[in-house]
Amino acid sequence: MKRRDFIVNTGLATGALVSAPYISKGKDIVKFMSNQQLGFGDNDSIIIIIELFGGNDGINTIIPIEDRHYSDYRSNIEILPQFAKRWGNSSLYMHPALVENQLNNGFMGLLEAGRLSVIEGVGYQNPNLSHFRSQEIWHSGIISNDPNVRLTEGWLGRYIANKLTNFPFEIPEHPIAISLEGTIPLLLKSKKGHMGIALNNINSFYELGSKTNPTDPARDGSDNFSVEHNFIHSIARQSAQYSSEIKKAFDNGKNEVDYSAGLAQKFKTIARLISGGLNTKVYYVGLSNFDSHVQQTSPLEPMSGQHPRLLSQLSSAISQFTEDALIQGFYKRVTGMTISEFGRRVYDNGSRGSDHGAASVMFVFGHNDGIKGGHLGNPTDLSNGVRGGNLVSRVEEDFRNIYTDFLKFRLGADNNDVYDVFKDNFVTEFGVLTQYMSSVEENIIANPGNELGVYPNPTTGPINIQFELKQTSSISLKAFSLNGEIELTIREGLTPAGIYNIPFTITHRGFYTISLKVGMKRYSHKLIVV
Amino acid sequence: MKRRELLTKAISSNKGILSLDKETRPLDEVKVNHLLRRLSFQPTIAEVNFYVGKTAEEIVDFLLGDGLDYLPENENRLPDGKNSMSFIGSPMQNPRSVPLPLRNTLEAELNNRYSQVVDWIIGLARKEDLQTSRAVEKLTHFLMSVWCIEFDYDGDYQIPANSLYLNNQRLRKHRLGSYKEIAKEMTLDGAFLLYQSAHLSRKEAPNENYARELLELFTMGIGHYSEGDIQELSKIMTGWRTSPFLGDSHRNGYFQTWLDSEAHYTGSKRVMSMDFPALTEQENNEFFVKTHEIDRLIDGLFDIRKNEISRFVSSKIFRYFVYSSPDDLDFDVIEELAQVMRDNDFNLLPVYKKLFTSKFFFNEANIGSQIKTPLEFVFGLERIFNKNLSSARQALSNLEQVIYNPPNVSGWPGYRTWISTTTYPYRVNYAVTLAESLTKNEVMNLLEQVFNKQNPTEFLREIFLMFFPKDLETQYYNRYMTILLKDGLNQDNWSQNVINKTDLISNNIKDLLVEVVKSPLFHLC
Repeated sequence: MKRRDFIVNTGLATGALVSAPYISKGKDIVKFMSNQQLGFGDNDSIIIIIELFGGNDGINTIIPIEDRHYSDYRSNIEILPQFAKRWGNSSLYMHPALVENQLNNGFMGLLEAGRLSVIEGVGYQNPNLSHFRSQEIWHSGIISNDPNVRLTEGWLGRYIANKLTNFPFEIPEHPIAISLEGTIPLLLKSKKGHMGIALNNINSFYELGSKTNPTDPARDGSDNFSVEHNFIHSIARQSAQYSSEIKKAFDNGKNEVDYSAGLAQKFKTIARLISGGLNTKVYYVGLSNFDSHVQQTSPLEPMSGQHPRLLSQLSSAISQFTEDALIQGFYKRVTGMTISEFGRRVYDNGSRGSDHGAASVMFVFGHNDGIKGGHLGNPTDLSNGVRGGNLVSRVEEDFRNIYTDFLKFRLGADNNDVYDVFKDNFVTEFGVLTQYMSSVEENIIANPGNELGVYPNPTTGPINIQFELKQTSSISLKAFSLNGEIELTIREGLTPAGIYNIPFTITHRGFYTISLKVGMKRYSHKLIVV
Repeated sequence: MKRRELLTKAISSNKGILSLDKETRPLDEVKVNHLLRRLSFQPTIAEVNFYVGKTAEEIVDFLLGDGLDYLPENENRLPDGKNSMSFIGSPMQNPRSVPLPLRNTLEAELNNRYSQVVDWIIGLARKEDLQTSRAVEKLTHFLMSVWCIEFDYDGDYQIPANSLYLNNQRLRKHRLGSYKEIAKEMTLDGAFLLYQSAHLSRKEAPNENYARELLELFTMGIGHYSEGDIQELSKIMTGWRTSPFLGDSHRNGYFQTWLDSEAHYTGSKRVMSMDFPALTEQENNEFFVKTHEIDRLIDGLFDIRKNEISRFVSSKIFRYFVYSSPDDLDFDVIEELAQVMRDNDFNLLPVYKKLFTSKFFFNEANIGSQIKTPLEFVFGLERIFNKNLSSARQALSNLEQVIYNPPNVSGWPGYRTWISTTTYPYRVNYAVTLAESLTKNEVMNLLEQVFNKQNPTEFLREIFLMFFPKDLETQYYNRYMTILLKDGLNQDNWSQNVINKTDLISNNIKDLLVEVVKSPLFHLC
């Protein structure tokens, strides 16, 4: 029933005890989809999106020190050559806050290890200088300056919603995405609802969330009352389901490095959830206050002021997370990027700050096997002059091309999927990411051709299961009876590298398959219990 | 408007309702509830019963009044914060002007005073009596959510409580007044100057912050001005200063705004089609700049962009008071509201009167469609149970609507963002904890208020109307009745138990209330 019909037909229905068959029992049954059913390709990749809200000053993050105009334009907020950090003999100079007092030299260490891409000049043509509209453009992946075009869906929200065909009646067993900001950002919204959940405090979520399962059923009907009711209803059900799954992963997980205060604490949580076996594909975190109209920094004290403090938090968070993930062996699964709605003007504004500008710098981090590290994009060139405070004739890298790399090489999208997300034929791969070879996963298990050993066979019940993991991996070891009646879980979860010899006893006679899943790869062995 | 005519025709032929025509019939309890829930944070049963049978116009006339109760010379009638906040009127030292240990003490005091202002505002909303006084606080809060200010801003700055208090009083005073006047007041409001860092803007380097937000967020929305307009407008805004801290220059008194002529840009400016000629040295004074630049600028914007501004503000009103996600049909109604606003020179009172007495507003489709804001949820809970949470301020913080501390300058995004897997469990917990804490006396007081308690079905209907936004289907009655009638309480002995105020009836009602507040329906209004 359309809303218009509803307005017409129900205008007078206000008597007591309205009796209408609104309530659908069927819709109350929630199914949970396992991660394999989700269709994100043959991988267990995880992406992290860090939003630098307020408009990060790209020119003071990656600094065009060698450009003679830099100092002229920015005398109130420039980073002096003696303070900037140069990458080798290249023309890439970083803000010292990204490097100094950071674990393994922060961003410089990541860059040297091939784990960081610095992409300059990322944005879109005719940038909108409203924080909110430009943020909507970055989140939706739809470049429209027409205020009548309402941007209500995110690029990831659309992509995920296409995969979750039966949402919200079938939902993933683990949250598909987690925002650590308390609220769901536009980038995870879709017409079907929010593709992900908001998380602040895991313990209180667990304590409170367990009591939220609604006893009233979902409603039929497309009137606003029913639609909004069902939205709340689905949040209530997800709260109940995910609060226990997240708590389980959090308790099973661990951290191997100390994390700083601020943004790093959110990365600490992410690392622990991944380590504990949570199958969430997307994490979203934010860092605010980049809107440096005033008191941004001062030339003689480059580490003072709001902007350096924020850059330092960013560098700490990523550096510490990287170290933790390397130690725990899941770094290869994780790729991250920073986004920010725009950069700042070339000129400082005299209040020791800078006003809203155009394109800015973007960072992508991840394992050196899967990203193209180094200095990419179009470096800032101030010699072409400035118009309206922004650089003239700079070719801007379309941010959606970088999103495309994430969709195709981390989330299993093909070209049609990418088109469905952006509806724009000009959007294409940027090339900062590459597909991990499937051989990477095959090589996790040692002894090709004889990966899984089961002894004795036949057995009267007790068996030993042998295999060798070359890398820390998420595994699932199970026994199935051939008639399908019995499924036994022997071991599950993130398992460190090593030689395994796992004893187990099967009590019922019959024919079995012992199955070991490592990442997306499955190995099996027949077994007879007599 | 061809499409609109067509629609009206199509709908009127079906006797449907889609216009701001007046609803003249007396209102039943569902509609009174609807009106009072949108105009206040939550009516009590007594307040609803007081108005049942009156027309929308009668109720709205009383609750809104003439809008002049504090204007222009009646400021002394404003609720006075001095009684509960001793610091009102006296400035404190600037934490940044002193060495670190003392700075920490002063910052703690800044925070403490801010909390007191928030608690004062919470108190006003809690105790608003809709039978005897005007509906003031929700309308004030609407303006606070548009012209929003963050106590904590730019990383580590805070706005002094006195400035926030004055800002709040200005909005309360003008809540039914002219939106154009509000724009003038806010442009030179001390808290706003601080928040927008406009108090640092000077002629050599005009700060664009406020210029952009004024056009984008507070008046017309994006798409109706150029970047050049922003740059020119920011020149007009240079030089305005405020005096929030002890020892600040305070030519007009502490917390007031004044012009530092030295810092004001005196060259000519052009915003849209308005030319502001260069100022002579004599003209570069506070009175002249205020009248010839600030006031003229705002008047001009409201003239040149009359349509855009009236639509923008009407859309905000619609989203706040009717439904947060308007569709195309709703935009036709918004256009009608905008017309009323233009016809009345941006005075809000006629707009509200039109809206709240319209058939459209009382249409079934608009009842129960709003997701409660944290303010509606928290104050509603407290007002229904006549019992306060241990800290409403803390609850609002966990539910992500801290008064005078929205996430950013665009305010709270609202609508579905209020309900997330983070906030929903908190809501359920606050509601259940408060319901479980009710003593027998408190349960009995609630029962006293119920008008029809002769039989459990009538009783349940009133409870539903109190907690849920509209009449519900029989299935709901069947389910909740099993919670109410148990342990020996039944249809036959119901009245006897009510009269004797037995433990049995108290326990069962309490169990019912706990269950009722756990329903997703409780989050709609």
